[in-house]
Amino acid sequence: MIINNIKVRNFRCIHNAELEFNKNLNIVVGNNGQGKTSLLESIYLLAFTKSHKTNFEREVIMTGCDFTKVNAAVDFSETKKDYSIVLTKKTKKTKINDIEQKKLSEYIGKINVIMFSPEDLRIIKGDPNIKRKFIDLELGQTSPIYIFNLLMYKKILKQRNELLKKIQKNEIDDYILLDVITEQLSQYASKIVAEREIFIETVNSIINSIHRSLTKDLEKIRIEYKKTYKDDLFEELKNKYKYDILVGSTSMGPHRDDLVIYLNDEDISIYGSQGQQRTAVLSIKLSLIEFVKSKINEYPVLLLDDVFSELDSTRLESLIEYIKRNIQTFITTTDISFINDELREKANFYYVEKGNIR
Amino acid sequence: MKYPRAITELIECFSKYPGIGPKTAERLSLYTVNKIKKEEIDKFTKALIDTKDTLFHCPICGNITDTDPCYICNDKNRDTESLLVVEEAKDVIIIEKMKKYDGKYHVLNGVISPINGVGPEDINLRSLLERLQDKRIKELILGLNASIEGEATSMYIKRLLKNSDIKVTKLAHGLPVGGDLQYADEITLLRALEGRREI
Repeated sequence: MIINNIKVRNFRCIHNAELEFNKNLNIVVGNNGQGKTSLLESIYLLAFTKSHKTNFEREVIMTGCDFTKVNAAVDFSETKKDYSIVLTKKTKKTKINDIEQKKLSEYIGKINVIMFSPEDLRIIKGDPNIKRKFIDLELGQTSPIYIFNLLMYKKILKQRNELLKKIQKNEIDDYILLDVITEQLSQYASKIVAEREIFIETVNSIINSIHRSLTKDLEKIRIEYKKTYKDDLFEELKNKYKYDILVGSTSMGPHRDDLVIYLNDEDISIYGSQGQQRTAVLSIKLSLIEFVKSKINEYPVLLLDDVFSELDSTRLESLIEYIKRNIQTFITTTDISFINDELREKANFYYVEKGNIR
Repeated sequence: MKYPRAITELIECFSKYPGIGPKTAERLSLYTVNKIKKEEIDKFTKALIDTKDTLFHCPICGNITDTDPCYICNDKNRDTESLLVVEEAKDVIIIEKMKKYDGKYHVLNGVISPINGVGPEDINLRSLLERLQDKRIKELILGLNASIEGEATSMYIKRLLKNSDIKVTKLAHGLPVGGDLQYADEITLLRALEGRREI
């Protein structure tokens, strides 16, 4: 898919920008703090209705403004569509071809975006919560059913935890109800975990050749989904009722599961160097491009935030080799000397200064 | 500047309704003051009072009624073999409109939801179990909403009837009739696929 043009209003320091994009490479140049990343973030917001930098989307609204709006025309192989999102302090409205999309699950996943940014090191070093969010986001963008199951699971989890607290305080003494809600939770859990495991398996089947080319055949990478339970969540939770009631929360399930990345069979978050960790993140992100392609038969848009400062020149070369395919790519950088003539000819350049883009 | 007491009190009353915020409450109140005639108000007041003076839950099925038992429970022509369990009174109205179901109902007046402080004791379950002692009842149809609370309540009822001979069924999820496949969302489609049956 190709983002043809974009309009951005009141987004962080970008007051008003209207841009036409190149279908291959778009290079956003500027000094630090001028709004380069904000442009990428606005594309990310349009795709996911979320920010990659903050959990509080309203922070992206320009100080002193009531709303921010991003809209874009996107070309797919067989159709084109207009997308828009308007955020106010309290509301979030999304439209496709000017028709409001009441359910977010029917909006998210229509524009597919893979972002590589300095924050992504958290996929490796962050706590399990961040790793789960990563899976949910990347998996959710090609599977509305996954988003739906996850939403249901979270609701049931809240009900179960509330029930556990009520049993703890002797307000309710109904173990049949606890059985029922535990069974209901387990049903959704098994759907979520099954989809996550297939996702990780697929990524594993793609990632090694990518990682080898990035590391000149030196490293072997593997991702492992670590469940908090063995096979039968329902039976295993049943054996832990006492504990769960004591702590008033659910001790096992996909909301506690984790992701471990191995480099040459060692846990990269412990043994990997900073550079190895960055390369691993890049390999994961590039694998996701192929994952999305395999699911929707269309390449996603690639957003590369400040990669030149993140990677050494050999890795960069492999990356550039990779993005020469028909993948629309956005790169932010402070310094264009990294970019060779061949790429320059293919690219559009955008210069960002104090929120103005030209 | 403040409204006279009668208006602020009316605004407060309207604000108690779900879906009515302070601004709508204000508009309705001023509309009442300016546009609605005294006779209409008398009728309105009486209707409001009657909801409390004449209505109650049917002791058998839990539906809202002004007769004891309600007209459905009292109907000798209805099939006594099946019982349709619903969440609230308006669900009975919808199904009755269809005119194809001639069994009886049981209205739970709620669904189990620990977060909202609603446990099995707080909905109309006990009388359901009492009713099911009636050996004539062969099938219990669960017609609760497809929310997680509705789903949990259905599972709970099913569990309570584990050792009984009563057949427990659930309304099917699926595609809207006359609808095109391409207009159904993925979740509806998946449910329809999971609930498919042989023809």
